[in-house]
Parts: sequence; C-alpha cells; structure tokens
Amino acid sequence: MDSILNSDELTRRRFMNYTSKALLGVSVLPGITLSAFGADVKKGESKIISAPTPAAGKKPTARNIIYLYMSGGMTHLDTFDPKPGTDEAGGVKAIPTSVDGTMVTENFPLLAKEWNKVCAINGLTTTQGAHEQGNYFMHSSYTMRGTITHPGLGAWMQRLEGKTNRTLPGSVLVGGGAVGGGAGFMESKYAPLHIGSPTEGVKNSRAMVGTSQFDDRLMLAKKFDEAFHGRYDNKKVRAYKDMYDDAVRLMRSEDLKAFDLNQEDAAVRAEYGENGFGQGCLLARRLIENDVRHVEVTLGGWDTHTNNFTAVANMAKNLDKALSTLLKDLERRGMIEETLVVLTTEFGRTPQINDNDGRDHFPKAFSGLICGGSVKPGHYGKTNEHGTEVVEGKLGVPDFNATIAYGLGLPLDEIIYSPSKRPFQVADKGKPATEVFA
Amino acid sequence: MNYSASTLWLSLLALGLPTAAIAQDTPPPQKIDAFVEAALKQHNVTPNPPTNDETFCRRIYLDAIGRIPSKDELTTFVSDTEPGKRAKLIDKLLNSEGYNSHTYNWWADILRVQTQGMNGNGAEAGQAYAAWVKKAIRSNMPYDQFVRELVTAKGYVWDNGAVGYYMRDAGMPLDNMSNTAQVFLGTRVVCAQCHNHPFDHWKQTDYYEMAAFTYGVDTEMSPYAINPALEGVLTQTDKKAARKGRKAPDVRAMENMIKDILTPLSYGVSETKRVLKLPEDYKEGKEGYAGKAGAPIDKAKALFATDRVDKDGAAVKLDGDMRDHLADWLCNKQNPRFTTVIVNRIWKRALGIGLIEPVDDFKDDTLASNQPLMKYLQETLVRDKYDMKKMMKYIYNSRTYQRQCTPGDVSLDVAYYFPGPILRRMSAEQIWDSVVTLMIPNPDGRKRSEGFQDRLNKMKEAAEELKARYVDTKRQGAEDLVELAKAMQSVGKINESKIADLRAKITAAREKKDEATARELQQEVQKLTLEQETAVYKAQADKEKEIDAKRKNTPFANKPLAFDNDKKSPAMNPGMKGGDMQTTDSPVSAADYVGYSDTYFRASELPSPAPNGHFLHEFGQSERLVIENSWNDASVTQALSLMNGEIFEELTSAKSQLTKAVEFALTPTEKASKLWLTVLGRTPTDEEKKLVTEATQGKGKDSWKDLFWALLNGREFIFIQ
Repeated sequence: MDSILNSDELTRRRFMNYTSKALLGVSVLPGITLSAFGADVKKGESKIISAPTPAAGKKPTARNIIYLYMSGGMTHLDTFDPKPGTDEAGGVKAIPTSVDGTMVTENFPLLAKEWNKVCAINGLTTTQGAHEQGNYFMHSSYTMRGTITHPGLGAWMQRLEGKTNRTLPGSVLVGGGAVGGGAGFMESKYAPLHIGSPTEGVKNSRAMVGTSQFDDRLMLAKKFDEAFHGRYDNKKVRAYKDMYDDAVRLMRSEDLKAFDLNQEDAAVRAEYGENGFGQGCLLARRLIENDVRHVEVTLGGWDTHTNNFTAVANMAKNLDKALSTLLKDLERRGMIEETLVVLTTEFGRTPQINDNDGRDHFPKAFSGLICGGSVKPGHYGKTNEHGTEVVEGKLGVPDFNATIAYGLGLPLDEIIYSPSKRPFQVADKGKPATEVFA
Repeated sequence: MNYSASTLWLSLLALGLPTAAIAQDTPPPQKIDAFVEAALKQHNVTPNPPTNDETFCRRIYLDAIGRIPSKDELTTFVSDTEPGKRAKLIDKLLNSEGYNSHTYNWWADILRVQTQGMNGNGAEAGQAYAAWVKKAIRSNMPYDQFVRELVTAKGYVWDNGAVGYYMRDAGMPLDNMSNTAQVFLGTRVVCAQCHNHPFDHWKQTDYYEMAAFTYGVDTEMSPYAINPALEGVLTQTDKKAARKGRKAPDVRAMENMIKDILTPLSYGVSETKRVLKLPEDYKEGKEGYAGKAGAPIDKAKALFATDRVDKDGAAVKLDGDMRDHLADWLCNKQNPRFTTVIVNRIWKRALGIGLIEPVDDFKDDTLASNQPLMKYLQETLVRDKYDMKKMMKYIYNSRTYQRQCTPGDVSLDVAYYFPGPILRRMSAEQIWDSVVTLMIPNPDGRKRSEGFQDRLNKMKEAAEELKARYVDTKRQGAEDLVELAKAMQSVGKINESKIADLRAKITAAREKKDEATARELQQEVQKLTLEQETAVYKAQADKEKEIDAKRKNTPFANKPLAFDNDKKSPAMNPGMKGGDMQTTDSPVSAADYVGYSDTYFRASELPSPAPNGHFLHEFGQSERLVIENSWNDASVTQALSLMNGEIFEELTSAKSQLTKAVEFALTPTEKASKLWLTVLGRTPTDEEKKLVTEATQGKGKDSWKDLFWALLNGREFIFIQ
C-alpha cells in the first residue's frame, strides 16, 4: 500500500483500475478480458425445452455415477473436440482413438486406448457465461434464482431412489465446492458429504481418545441426558439421539475403510497418479464399491485466460492418467456396466486464441464425456470446423443432465414439489439423447 | 380485504372473547398475558409453570443476545435479591452489543446478506450492506424506516450501504420483487412471475404491475445515466450509422471504453426509465391485458389496496422514481400485512413459533392463532412508531414468555395457544456464539476491522475525481471522454501486429514440439501485452493532463497524484436517526484478545455465509441464497464435530474461559458445579453429583474433561429450554 501512496500517476492509475476490477469484476483495459459473450447472456433466464420422450425398448444399465467436474470452464478444442490444422487449434494435434471415426487431441494418449468405454459429447451448449452461474446450472439443470435453491444430482438420486449403504452417506463430494450440487430445497440429509482432500478421510471421524475412554464418555453423556430426555418427549430431541447413534456407527463402521486409501496397493495408487485428482478418482471407485451411489471429484484450473496450452497440457496429463486408469479398473472389477463416469464443466473456451495465449469463456459450444454404463462408444454431436457452433446433436444443459439421468434409469418426468409447492424435475424439462446409449 | 379492523372486531364480539375485560391502562406485558390466558382458558389449555431464575437467565441470554451466559453473568443474576431483576436484565441485554450481534444474524438470514461478493457484484457492496444493517440495528432504527430505506435505496455503495438490497439481486429484478413481497408482506407471489398463481388468486399481470415499481432500478449505472450529454456526443461520431438508427461498431467499442473509464461511478443503484414488458409466452389474460403478450406495462399497481396508494383501485402512472410510491404503500400502517408480518416475526423469535405459521405465506383467509393478541401487538407497534426493541421488551417481560417451555411436539398444523414458549434447538449462530463464550473473554466486544471501508474510500475518491472531470462538466465532459477514449484506443493496438507475428511462431514451434521456444516466445508476447497496457494508461494520463491544461479551472489541475490514505470515510449514513434504546456498552480493548485464535469471533463478525465445512455451516447456517434458509435438523457431521472436532481440544486448553472457570475447584463436585453453571447454566442435581463422583473416582485432575465432553455432546447444551 505504501508504494501506492507515494507513487507516480501511472501507478496510481493502475491501482485505481485494479481496484475497480477487483471490486466489480471488470477490466478497465480494452480488449483484454472483455468477454464477447458475457453481455449477451442474461442471468436467471432459462429456456423451456419440450418434454422428454425416452425411446422404448432400451434399458440403461448404470445405477451409480462418478461425476468428474472440470472447474473453470474446460476448453473443448484442446481436449475432446480437436480441430487439427486450423488457426484455432494453436498447434494441438489430433490422434485416433480405439473407436473408428473418433479422434481426440494428443493430450489424451492413454484415454484414447480406452475409448471402447467412452462417448464424447461434442454438442454441448449453455446459456450461462459466468463461472458461478454456469457451475450452478450444470449441477442443478436450473438457472440460479434469488427465490429458491435447486438440488444437485446426488440429492435427486437419494430422493428418488433412496440410498443403499446404511452407514455411509448417499453422496460424496471430493475436492472443491460445487455450486448448486447440494440438497437445495430438499432436506439437508440429502446434501453430499464434503471431503476436502481425498487422503484426509471423513472429517472428525476418528476419536481423540482410546476406545474405552470414548465409550466411558458416551455412557456418561447418555446418563446425564436421561433426565432431559425424560422431560422432553420431543421429535427434535429424539432426532439428535438417533443421529449420535448413526455417527458412532459410522465411526466404527468397516465401511469407513472405504475412505482409507492406504488400503490400496502402492502400485494401484501410483497408477491413478499421485495427485489430488488421481487419488480422488481412486477414492470414488472405493466409495462406489461400498454402495455410495454418487461421487463427485473436482479438477480445478481450467480457467485458462492465459497460457492455455501449457496449462491444459499439464492438467490433461493427470486427467488422462486418472480417467483411463479408473475406466480400466472399473472394467477389471466388473463394475463398468453399473457405473456411469461423466466428465463435464460449466462452459467451453473461445476457439479464437487471445493476446495472452489463452482462451476466454465460451458458452456456445463445448464438450463433455459420458463413459461406462451402457454407453455407445465414439462421439455424439459435432461442432463446425472452427469449433464455434454446434452443427449436430446439440444438447443444452438440461438435455445433457436428462441424458445422464436416463443412463442411470431415473424417472425424468417425476415431479418433486419444493416446500413452497413449486414443481421440479431431475433435469428440468431436458430431453435425453438416448442415442448415446447402446 | 377481510382484514379490516371493523370486521375483525365484529367477529370477535360474536365469539364472545373477554377482550373488553382488560383494562386500558394495563402495562403491555400484562396485557399480552391477558390475551394469551383468555385464549388458553377458552381452549382448556393449562399454562406451563413459571421458569426458575437459572432457566430464565440462560433463555433470555440466548434469545436476546444469542449466546449462553458466562458463569459470572449467571451467578450475578441468580444471587440478585431485588424483585425487578428480570426486567432489569432484559433492559441490560437489549441495550448491549450482544443484541446487535444476534439481531444481525436474524436479519442476515431474512435479507440473505452475503459479504463475499453478491451475484457478480464486488464483496464490498455486500460488506457495506452488512455494515448498514448492523448500524440500523445499533441505532434501533424504526422498522418502517428500515424497510423504506432498503426499498428506496439509491446512490453509491460508499454513501449508502442499503443499496445492497438491490445489488444483492443484480440482474434479477423480478426475483427481487418476489422477495420484497415475501419478506415484508408475508406474501408469496413468486409463482405469478411465470404464470397465474395455482394456489392463490394472484394473476401474472398482478405480478408484473407490482414489479413495475422497481423495474427501473439499475444496479450498474450506465455511462449515459452518469452523463446524459454523452448520448448526443457519441452518436455524432458516426452520423451515417446514427441515421440508420443503430450504433456503429466503433461507437460500441467507444461505449465499452468509456464504461471502463467511468467504472467507479457505476458502483451503486440508480433509476432508469427501463420499461417492463409482459413475457412473450403470456397467455392468461386479465381485463385490459388480453392478447398483450410482450406488451409494455405502463402502470405500476400495488398488490392490494390501501388508502395511501391506489385508493380507488386506480393505478399509479409510471413516472420517475416509483419506489417512493411503493414505500408509501408498503411501509404503511394501513397496509394490512406490513405490521402483521413483523409482529409475527418478533413473536416467533421469542416464543419459537409464530401466531401465524408459516411467517411468510399469508393468504386472504389467514388468521392468527390468537387474533385479539395479534391486533393488540400491531396497535402497540404502531403506537411505538415501529420500535422493534420495545416490542421485544414487552414480550420478554410477559409471564407468557417467562413460563417453562412446552415439552412435547408442537405441530404446525394445530393451533398453538402459547402455554409457554416451545423447546427449540439453538440456531447455528447461537451454538457457535456459545462456544465462543466458553472460549474467549467478553465475546460480544471482539470485532473485526472493516477493511472494505478503506477500499470503498479509494473508490469514492476515484469516483469524485471522475465526476468533477467528466460529469459535472456536462457536454464538455462528454466530449473530453470521447477524446480520451479515442486516445486510449489508438495506443491499445500498438503491438498488435508484433503479437500476431509471435503467435504464428508459437504455433509453428508447438507443431515441432519445441516447447522451450514456444514458452520463450510466449514470454515475449506477455511483455508486449504489458507494454501495450502501460501505453494505454499513459495515454489516459497524458490526455487527462492535456484536457486539464485546456480547462484551467478544473479542480484537478494541480491535484497531488497520490491517494490520501489517512482520510477516513464519513459515517455510512449520516441521516440515520436512532430511537431511545441504543446500545450502551463501552468499547473493548483489542488487548483482551491477545493469545486467542482468530477463529473465535462471534458469527456476526465472520464472513456471511461461513464457508463450506465451517462449524456454522454444519449446524445449519443459511447459505444466504434464499430467505430464511437456516435449518436446525440433526446431522451426522454435527455429532462428529462435537465428539471429535478440534473445538473440544481448544475449549479444554489452558487459555479458555471454561478451563479458567473450573480449574480452581478442589473437589470433583465443586468442579462439577462450576462446569454445570458454565456450560448448562444451572447447578447439577444430586443425581448428577452422584454420577460425577462415580465417574471421576480414581481419575486424575483432567477427569473434568470427560465430564465436559459428556455435557457438550448431550442434548441439553444445544437446546433452549
């Protein structure tokens, strides 16, 4: 701060502009970060899409989902929608996958070999051009509103189908916070359990004292509490008793081992990659094995306004290793058919490369992946030769989520009412692309 | 409306309620009791017995100031032998800093105050908003004025934090109106935002006519609003395009540039003449709107009539700032729902359940479970000029409030006649603030410094400078702006061809897998970009000097170039008047808190909402996304956090107030007494003393920690009796 106080006009100007940028999220500079699209996208607007009509005769096989969220807005051109040889590609090349007619960028050599379990979704489009709003929309199928919060897929799955493991939570979120992936207007028990880092396990699940002292303490608490329970025959009071029983059961549960990555061979841990995301994917597999049905793992850093190519190459290295290992591992364990692995993000990035060798936000067209389950390998949807428009198989965010929900066999048209009696559906009124599945 | 006073009284007379038996000059607390007891008698409900001093003390601390009492606070009160000591304590608490803190949490949940950046707006707007709310509470601002200042808020963030009411919902003007109706009128019109209300009589057009009051509110002032002369000057730059009635591309670029230059001047709320239109899919016609999908709404109309606005059902024609009209109608004792809503909220805050439930979904036929009481409370609040603190004081002083709480379940479907308050789990903030009380001395006095104010001051200075240069000077200013923008634009591209050149080389290098070269070239690009950026700033500064030189009398011709960091901001809102019940606490020294972790501030001092995974978040603090979204259900993470979390370790460490309270006791039962008073606000029973003796026998001096663990993880600690 001192340097600013005694600074010249130029520094002062820079500071003033910096302040406005920090305060308002805008840049004072011409042409550097002015998004070409942000201005066109109105907050809180949603498009109504006609009601879903799932094709008869098909039966999706998956019941669990591992949801990989690429936070920050993943570039489509440098990942799963290659445009080799164009100016927009920035020199990134395409390589063939194990499925004829489907190419990916050279950033995913390992995944390319596992493509028999993968379908790239290359016709995604969203109406949201800002991170928080885009993230919320992708997680909930509804645009952010000031009057209600919408539940995420994990909450929907539990609400519609219950949970399978009695002690473990129905939904787990590993890594960064999802915006709009919570319980929303549903009961708080449907909210995902949040694990900050994959190696830290469930927060506070280990007692600070030995088992016998812990038991003594529990017994003491129970005795002290008797009078209070006797005086108040009350639902809320009883709920706390039940909840403590659940918590102690969880602490002692064999299932808690699902969170302990040390139970895995060092070789397996290394195969997934010794990094947060890699270990997160391994944890996701362990949780799914233990009947947690919805696990989300976040990989951040995709907001590549600058140095897009170096950053993407680095992130893709971890992603390629982790995802290809995850798919192989699920297959090896006979879990691939019942598990959907979805990769998605809030929006794509501009095909045009900016002055900082980066790409800016691009809601109009982007890519995701649907893997496992009964997916038909290859790709679905297509953008034009520069990646600026979807020309085939266009899927809005509710459509994409309807496709995922369809793949999980969830009832798309079942209406759940919020406490304020407003009707909601798992993927709003999205229409599933059933062709994605075999 | 079937709310009119006369109908109400007629129906009461018909019911034969003994309301006339209450003497006119009975003091308010006793009058409340009389109304409650009449209803209890009528419905054959026995009132609960009165609380003892210990229970009362813990309850009033939690209800009035949001935390448990310390051992000293409790024993001082209990050992006081004066007859009026309860009333005295109530007064003391309502006028203490703790009241402000607790009441802020209440409003933050209702108003969805976010201090971490709101809907695309900078965090400072949220922090200024929070500060405004706190200041209004501290001065005990009358409720009608509070609502009026929020609803009519305009100006810059640094001048009027209340603009946060609109900036909170930037880009969502329709949602904002739904929230206004829900928060201040207890009326849900949100369904009618998209179609006629399925469970109430609101038509979509009712909604739109209501929304027209605030649709002109702009949360980011445009350059044309800042200096209206700009319109004429800018269109002149491209006459051909102007003739065709559209903006040429370079005009749009210029607009963006000017917008950027004027950024600090846009940070606030202003009025525009923006017109609200019916949606394109509007179908269901109402008289006068049939077949008018997409048509502009040309008049604003209140949801229901009062004698201030729309007396004969005539609509108000849109003209200028409509929000004063809105406030005239909304914040008005004649408005049948305005006073009811706040009285009901205050009642619920004290007794745990409203006279009307839910508190924000009133229908035409909604009645309070005790209508005469509701009517009396409304009249009293109006008579007291919407002094909320006085209303709380009356309720807390009533026998009704001071009875034991009802032990069993209270269903929202069955009318509750208030034999006493209901048993409540503490709010997330109350639990946290109680933990803070066990940890640090004088928990209410610990305040975070408000760094945002410095940043706002700098913005304000920048805004003032810009205003003097380019706004107060009207057309000249507009012309200067255009000139300035042109100068900046011309240098903005100096390195463009070089950069394009380099970019081609980078692509070539990447194709050859020559990452090293690519990275080197990339650094060169960055250098050129920075150079370009600096040139733009320099062009701006040079041009401004040139402009100043031309205009000798500009106030900035000889202005020193540095910011004056010492200048403190003026009061947030100098016009704010306080009632006669203002905070009387003396300030606290920061030295009291040396050695205590930064974690332990009261919830009102922490970011709103607390981050994911924070204790407050686990126990159900609202995420501040929707109105009153805090929750108090049990969850496994809460149990894990109390059983195994670091809070236990820290509360049993040497520096905690809890440890200090118990450490000098000699016998286990003496220790237990102090522990019980500190944690549960009461002395242990004989049975408990016996258990303590058994449990601590043969154990070391740390065995009190086991006892504390058991209390922390018991039900009694987190419930308000």
